[in-house]
Amino acid sequence: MSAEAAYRLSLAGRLHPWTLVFGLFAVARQMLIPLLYWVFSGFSVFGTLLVLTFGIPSLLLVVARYWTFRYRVEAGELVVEQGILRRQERHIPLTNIQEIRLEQNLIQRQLGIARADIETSTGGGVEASLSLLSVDDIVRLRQCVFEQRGEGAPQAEAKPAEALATTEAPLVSLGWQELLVAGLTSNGIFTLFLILGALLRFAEEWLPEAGRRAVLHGIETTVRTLGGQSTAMMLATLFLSITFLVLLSVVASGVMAVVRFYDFRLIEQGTALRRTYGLLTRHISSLSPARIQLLAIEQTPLRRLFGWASLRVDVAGVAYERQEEQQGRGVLVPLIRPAAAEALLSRFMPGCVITPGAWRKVSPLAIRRGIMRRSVWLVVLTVAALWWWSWPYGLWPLVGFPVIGLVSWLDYRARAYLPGPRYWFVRQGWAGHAVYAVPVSNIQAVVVAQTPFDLRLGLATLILDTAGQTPVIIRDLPVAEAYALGRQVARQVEGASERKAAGF
Amino acid sequence: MPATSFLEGTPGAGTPGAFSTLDPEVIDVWRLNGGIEWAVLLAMAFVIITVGSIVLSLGLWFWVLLAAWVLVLIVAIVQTIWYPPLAYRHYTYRIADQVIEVRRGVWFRESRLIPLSRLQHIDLRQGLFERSYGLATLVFHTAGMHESSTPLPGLAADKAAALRDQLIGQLHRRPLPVSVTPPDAPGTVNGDATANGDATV
Repeated sequence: MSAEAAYRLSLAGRLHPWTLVFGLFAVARQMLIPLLYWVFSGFSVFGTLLVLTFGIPSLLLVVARYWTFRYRVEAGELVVEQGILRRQERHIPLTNIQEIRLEQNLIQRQLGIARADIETSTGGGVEASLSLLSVDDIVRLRQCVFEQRGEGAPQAEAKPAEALATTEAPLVSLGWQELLVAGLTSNGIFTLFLILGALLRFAEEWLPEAGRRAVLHGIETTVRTLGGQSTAMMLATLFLSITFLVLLSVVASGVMAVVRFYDFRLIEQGTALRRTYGLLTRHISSLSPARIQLLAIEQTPLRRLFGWASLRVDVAGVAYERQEEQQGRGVLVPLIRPAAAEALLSRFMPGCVITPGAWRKVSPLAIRRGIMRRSVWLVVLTVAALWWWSWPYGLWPLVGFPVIGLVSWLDYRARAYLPGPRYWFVRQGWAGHAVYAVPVSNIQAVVVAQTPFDLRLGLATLILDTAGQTPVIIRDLPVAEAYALGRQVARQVEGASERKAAGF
Repeated sequence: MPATSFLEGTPGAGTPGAFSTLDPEVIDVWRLNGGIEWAVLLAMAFVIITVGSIVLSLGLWFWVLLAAWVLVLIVAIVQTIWYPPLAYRHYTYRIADQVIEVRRGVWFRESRLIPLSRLQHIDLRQGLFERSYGLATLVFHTAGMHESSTPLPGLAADKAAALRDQLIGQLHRRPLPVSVTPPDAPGTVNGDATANGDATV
């Protein structure tokens, strides 16, 4: 009975007092324009009124939120309550909590406080945001949630803290050199646009009109003097400036990767996986492996060239809206050797081992389909070229046809699938490369689809849908095989759920 | 028709591989729905063409546009009459081996397989015409991200309700409810008997 009581009221608390200060800053930032007006108008009466009418309610809200916010873990639920006039009490079953993310910026790290975001499987991202708590409180909350959930019994709570600490096993840690490589081999073009955009914004917002004109003029005269002399000079200038931009973007993405993933560590902590990373804003997130919808070993073309890959994870219900968030949160390991990543798979998902010889190819008709699909562009290009140039010269885009053939063949060679009893594997990608591992127990629906082209060639597409964001699609299977596989995997899903229900 | 015959392994079921067809009356419902959609679209197009021609004084172009409109009208009529039976022929379903399978599509074929244990909830929907024909649509929802809902139209309303109750009953692993709610009761319309995923874990 006493154990029951301990289980029931194992953890309770409220926000850290620093919340008030950070709330004040947030209000000040919101109120920047009225505040500036107030100051520049010489603290006029109207300015004062403006600040008071807009500022006081926001400040009151901050104070009220701090004052009324309570959280506790009881009876297998995390209860978060807040509000004065409209009291809100949110009960989150511990079994539904997928991840507790911790985020802190530089100042918060000095103060030992952080924001804790609680994500559940119901979709739509963050279910509750505890902002701000002391780091110790978050650690206790996390232990409480993941331990109680894992065992669902009070024994876990009775375990001494030292015993918990010993179950930690470091899996991956990355130094800054590796992170630099990770950044250098990530998608450089994207970063390039990011930098150009930032530069333009900087020029528009901060440079005075005269300065901007001077810079533009300088660029223009340089280009003229360099490029105006001869064709060779012009080409050289063009080549050099492109090289410069590419180098700039590569360096910048390297720096960005180091800043984002600085001191990256992946730790197996009891049943959960814990990632710690970040130079300016420090992230700590725990993830329960049972919630993994899909693991992806992905290689950009550059990484493939140098024999590197990254390991990405899909969890249920989290749709990453911004590219930036996706890069940070979906990434389980930013840089890893493909073989090491394959070895790690079984660490995250028991029994998840790729048997190298067991890969099964898609239909060779895929080459024909690939050529047909890619030739559409060629035809469009040729028509445009014929319209632009005259008869024989307009045919030059057809030179690309062998390339299309080659690419289609490479694409066919890269694609394969491996249906296992508990995990399905799919690989694809002729330039970049990706290997997906899907736990059968997390497949939600199976779709076998045929377009009119497929109907004619006797092919079909098999789609395995999970609650994660990456759909697993196997194209160009012979139609009978696709239907057989679809039924097989649906049957497997049923079997997996029966095993689960039986307590395995 | 006894509800037990939908599931494989229960007495009265045919061969497990046999697909069931929809209620043939669904063809009429589809024709009505499609016809009305086309009629609204074409009426709007006609008004836009006429008014536009007068305002912009298009002259001869009006007749070209009108000819195009008539062409679309003919296509619409042919499509409304000829397509629904074709779609009906390709719309089949079965529940075998604890898996719901719905096949559909004339040009773009699709076969969706939903393991019973993955069902989150089942909606029973009845549109205006469906109700007057005594039909209903079941929508199977899973927790999937991309293919999360699968509609199954053209079921007799009582059959749909019975099927839904049976599937939900299976989910909770409890005996079937004996009585089936009458199809016209408001409770069955949008009656989403929610079975959350916990039942399966």
